[in-house]
Amino acid sequence: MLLAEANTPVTDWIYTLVFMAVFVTTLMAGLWVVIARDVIRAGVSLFICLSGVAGIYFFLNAQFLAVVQIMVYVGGTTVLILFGVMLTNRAPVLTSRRATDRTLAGWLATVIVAAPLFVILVGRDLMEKKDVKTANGWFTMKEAAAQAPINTVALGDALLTSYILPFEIASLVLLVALVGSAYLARRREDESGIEGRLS
Amino acid sequence: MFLAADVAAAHSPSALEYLLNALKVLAAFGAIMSVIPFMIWLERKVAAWIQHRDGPNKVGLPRWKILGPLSGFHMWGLLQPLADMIKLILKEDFIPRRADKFLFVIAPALVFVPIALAFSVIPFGWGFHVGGAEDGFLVRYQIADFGTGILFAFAVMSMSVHGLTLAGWSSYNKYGQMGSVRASAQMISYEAAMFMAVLAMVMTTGSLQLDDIVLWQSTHVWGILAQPIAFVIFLICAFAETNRLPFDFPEAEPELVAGYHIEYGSMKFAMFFLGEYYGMVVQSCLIVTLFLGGWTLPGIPATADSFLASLAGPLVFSVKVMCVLFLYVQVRWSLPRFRFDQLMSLGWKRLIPIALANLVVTAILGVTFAASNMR
Repeated sequence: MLLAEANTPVTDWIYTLVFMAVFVTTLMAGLWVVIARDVIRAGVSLFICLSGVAGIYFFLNAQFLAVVQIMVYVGGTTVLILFGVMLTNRAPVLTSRRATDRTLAGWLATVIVAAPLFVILVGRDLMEKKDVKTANGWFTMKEAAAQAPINTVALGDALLTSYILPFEIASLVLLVALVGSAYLARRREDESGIEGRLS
Repeated sequence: MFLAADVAAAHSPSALEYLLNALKVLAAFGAIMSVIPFMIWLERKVAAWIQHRDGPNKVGLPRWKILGPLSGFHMWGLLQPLADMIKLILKEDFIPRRADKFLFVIAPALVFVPIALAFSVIPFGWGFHVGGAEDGFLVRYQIADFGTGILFAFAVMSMSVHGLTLAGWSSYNKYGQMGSVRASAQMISYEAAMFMAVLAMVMTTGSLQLDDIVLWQSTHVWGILAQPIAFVIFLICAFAETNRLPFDFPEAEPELVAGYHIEYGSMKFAMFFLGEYYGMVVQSCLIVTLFLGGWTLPGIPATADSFLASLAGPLVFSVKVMCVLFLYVQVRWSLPRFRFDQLMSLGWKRLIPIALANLVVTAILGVTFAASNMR
């Protein structure tokens, strides 16, 4: 069979092309989130950017993570953002903001987030420190990632055994955020309630 | 590579497999696009029966002599959707002056594309074997079969709410915006209960892979018997997610004129229309896969892989999907619309607690009786 034996340069080429398309789209959309003057458009760019990140996860063979990314961020968070903007803006008017607001704070936040990520993802890799433990011993992050199991059973096991502390801390943070937001929303209601009783 | 990753886990996919995957995509898309006009016809016909009318019965074959005795045959109005489609294509493609043009144009696609993506994981049947015993491989009746298929289907379908939201927002119309706010509120509310119903089924079968769930049902019982409560919740939520009549708030005609797609005409409107029907078909496929045994029937071998025997799978699957679709149509023309507060209290105060309780009971039963099967 000629077609079956034809080696894969063409398919590799398609693969690379699709990957580059996803990659560039993600970056462009991420940039647009920052510079868009219209909140809704920034929200839509965020939607595209997060979908692109999910696409990159698919390319990295982390299917579960990709699906969760779509479910939580694309299907949940951005919907809530858009929903919130639409509910809080009176009438269908496009809101605009100054893109140059708080440039310094923005740069600071970027550096604070990006520097540790860079150190963790790139720096450690360059040092080739064998500091990730798997069932077979200690490895560098790259080696560990290569032998990581991709099925959800292993993932669930890992989350509830080796990584139970980060998992629980994350849920605690979420709980705090939930209680905090409920408190913020509640206080306003009380104020209007007092006003209602006084008048 | 990622499409064929599980089909060909052992070797890197060859060009032939890429080609087969492309063909599968085309076949699935073509099948759905030819089912949808029939669905529209069925809907109008059933509506007519329920309301004691005739429904579409004029548009059929033309009066050409070549057709012989069939010339001018009305075909029970089966060509009506074709005529509708031609009408929609020929209409003016209108964009309101103050609309956000970019979002206005992409919104219909944002409804349609995610739903179409969900189709890639639905198993229509087992598949057939190509080639010899050693170098051959199984061609599945499924476009992509990856470990988290069921999550993927629901994740991408939850993306379609963006289209509805942005459609109403971008058209600069208060009815449109109210429709889209309703759409997002409704879809967020019902997704939670829906996911929990699905999760109960996943816990029962112990897999996130749609074909595993089907095979579990063929060896044990159908999901509708194993998880009856989850089935009812899922069915209700499926109606709500597709914005069909008891839950069609985003486009409630008497209140919002047409809701989020009020400013849309021509093919952009057609995209919304197609998206709605596409959503119905996908939801029906998921109901059949999760709760009605998928492509299997008792008495028919579920994993026969010769070409002819494997054809039974898609056939059984289509018949089951047709039955569910008929239910969709019948419900639409039998039930009135809820009030919006009723919709919200049904979603948050009834369905979510019931689904949660069902999930907890399933987990307890699973741990006590089938601890070894949970893996």
